[in-house]
Amino acid sequence: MKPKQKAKITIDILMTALLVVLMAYPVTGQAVHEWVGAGMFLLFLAHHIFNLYWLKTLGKGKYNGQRILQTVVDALLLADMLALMFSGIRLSRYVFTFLPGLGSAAAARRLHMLASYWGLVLMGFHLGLHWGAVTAPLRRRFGGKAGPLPWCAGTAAGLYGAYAAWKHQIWQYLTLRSEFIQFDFDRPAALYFWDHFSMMALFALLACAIVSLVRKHRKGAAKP
Amino acid sequence: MKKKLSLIVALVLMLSLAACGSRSNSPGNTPPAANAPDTPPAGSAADPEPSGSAGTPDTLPAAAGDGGILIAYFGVPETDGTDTVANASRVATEGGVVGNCQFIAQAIRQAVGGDLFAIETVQEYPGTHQPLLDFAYEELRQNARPELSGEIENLDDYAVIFLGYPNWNADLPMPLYTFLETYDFSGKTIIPFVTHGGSGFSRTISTIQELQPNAAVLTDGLSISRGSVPNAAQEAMDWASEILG
Ligand SMILES: Cc1cc2nc3c(=O)[nH]c(=O)nc-3n(C[C@H](O)[C@H](O)[C@H](O)COP(=O)(O)O)c2cc1C
Repeated sequence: MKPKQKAKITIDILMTALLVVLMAYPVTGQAVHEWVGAGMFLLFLAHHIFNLYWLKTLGKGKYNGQRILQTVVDALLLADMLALMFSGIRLSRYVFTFLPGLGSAAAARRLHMLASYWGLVLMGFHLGLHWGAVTAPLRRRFGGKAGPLPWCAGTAAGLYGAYAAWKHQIWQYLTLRSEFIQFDFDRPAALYFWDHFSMMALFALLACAIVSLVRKHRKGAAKP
Repeated sequence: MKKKLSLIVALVLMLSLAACGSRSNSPGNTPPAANAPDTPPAGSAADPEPSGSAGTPDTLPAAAGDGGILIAYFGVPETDGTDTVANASRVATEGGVVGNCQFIAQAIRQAVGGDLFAIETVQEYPGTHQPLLDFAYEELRQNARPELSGEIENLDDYAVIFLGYPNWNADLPMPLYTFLETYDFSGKTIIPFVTHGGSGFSRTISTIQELQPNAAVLTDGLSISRGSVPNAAQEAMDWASEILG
């Protein structure tokens, strides 16, 4: 793997991990949450520097189904991350206190809640839609030596993710019906990380499935 | 086939996250404080069952021999939103409309006796939801210590302090910080109870322990979701009676 590819994939893995840690706000508490959030901001910048071609080629070339889907999800995710950043800075009590708190904290809190769960969904989709590109260097490096194991693990995580999404009733957050985080203190904290990771896996898997459906559709249409 | 080894990334992540998760303790996992006495202090066992309804006034003279228990609570009942249905911050009782924490405090008093003490501030909090959220968040951000308006008399008479408060932004309301920094509860037992919108105690029990290092703080306090407060009187009574044996 080239150093640039290594850096890219390291950043992607770190961002995935940090997102899960950020989702576990009730477990980590405010101070850790803010520092990890600030770290995510730096990774976000790095991720964009490494993927600048996305912006450069935005209006160029042909747009097929997969590319349209990717572009829409990427744009939504970008907007979502910006919303998280601005509301997060407004709510900050440790890291960004040197900035004045402008506007309503209650509104920022609500926006932050809404954008965080949409962020989980969109990040999963983003990962799934770009899965081929993200992991290409890994596949080249390792060839096909892993057998079906990774696929099975991914599917298992996705299935558990469906259960976790139901258990955490994430639509309550996605529709802003729940104003506060529902946290079950009788459940081991480690599970909270795993629950949110597997929810992301679920959305990534769904995106992968949609991509392969779109591809099949295109092949079918091209035949006659 | 195409996703093969790439999913190893997922596996590695899972493992790293599991490792990460196991290091952090859930506040709910801590067993009850070992130094908390399992028998109630002398004096409280002989408490007569108070005859008042849930609407008992907050100021009862501490009768001799009846001074073992103090039930201190804070709360800002919101005046907007629908009353007594899920998610309201107040409950209609026979004695009038009361806040969630006040309601639970009164139930506890009914079960185990003792004196009620409302923690009140000199400043007045906004009475409606959105302004209250904004106000409370600024207070938290500034780490404010709002001045309290009342005072506990004869603190020495109490051995057990039930301490009730709403979960505000996953933390103690700032007046609770003032309260816990004003009084010294060394040698006494603090039994926390919280009403909340889903997050339970958050990390507030460890905060109480930090602020009162010489008190025994019961770590499995009573946590009632605001939607079930109106139906939780019995649960609160049972819980309080059970703790005091
Ligand atoms: C300023 C403010 C912040 C709150 N923050 C949270 C929170 O972070 N988590 C939560 O579960 N509930 C939160 N709530 C909901 C309250 O804990 C809940 O409404 C409580 O029952 C109010 O009790 P009271 O009527 O005695 O004041 C908040 C309420 C207010 C007013």
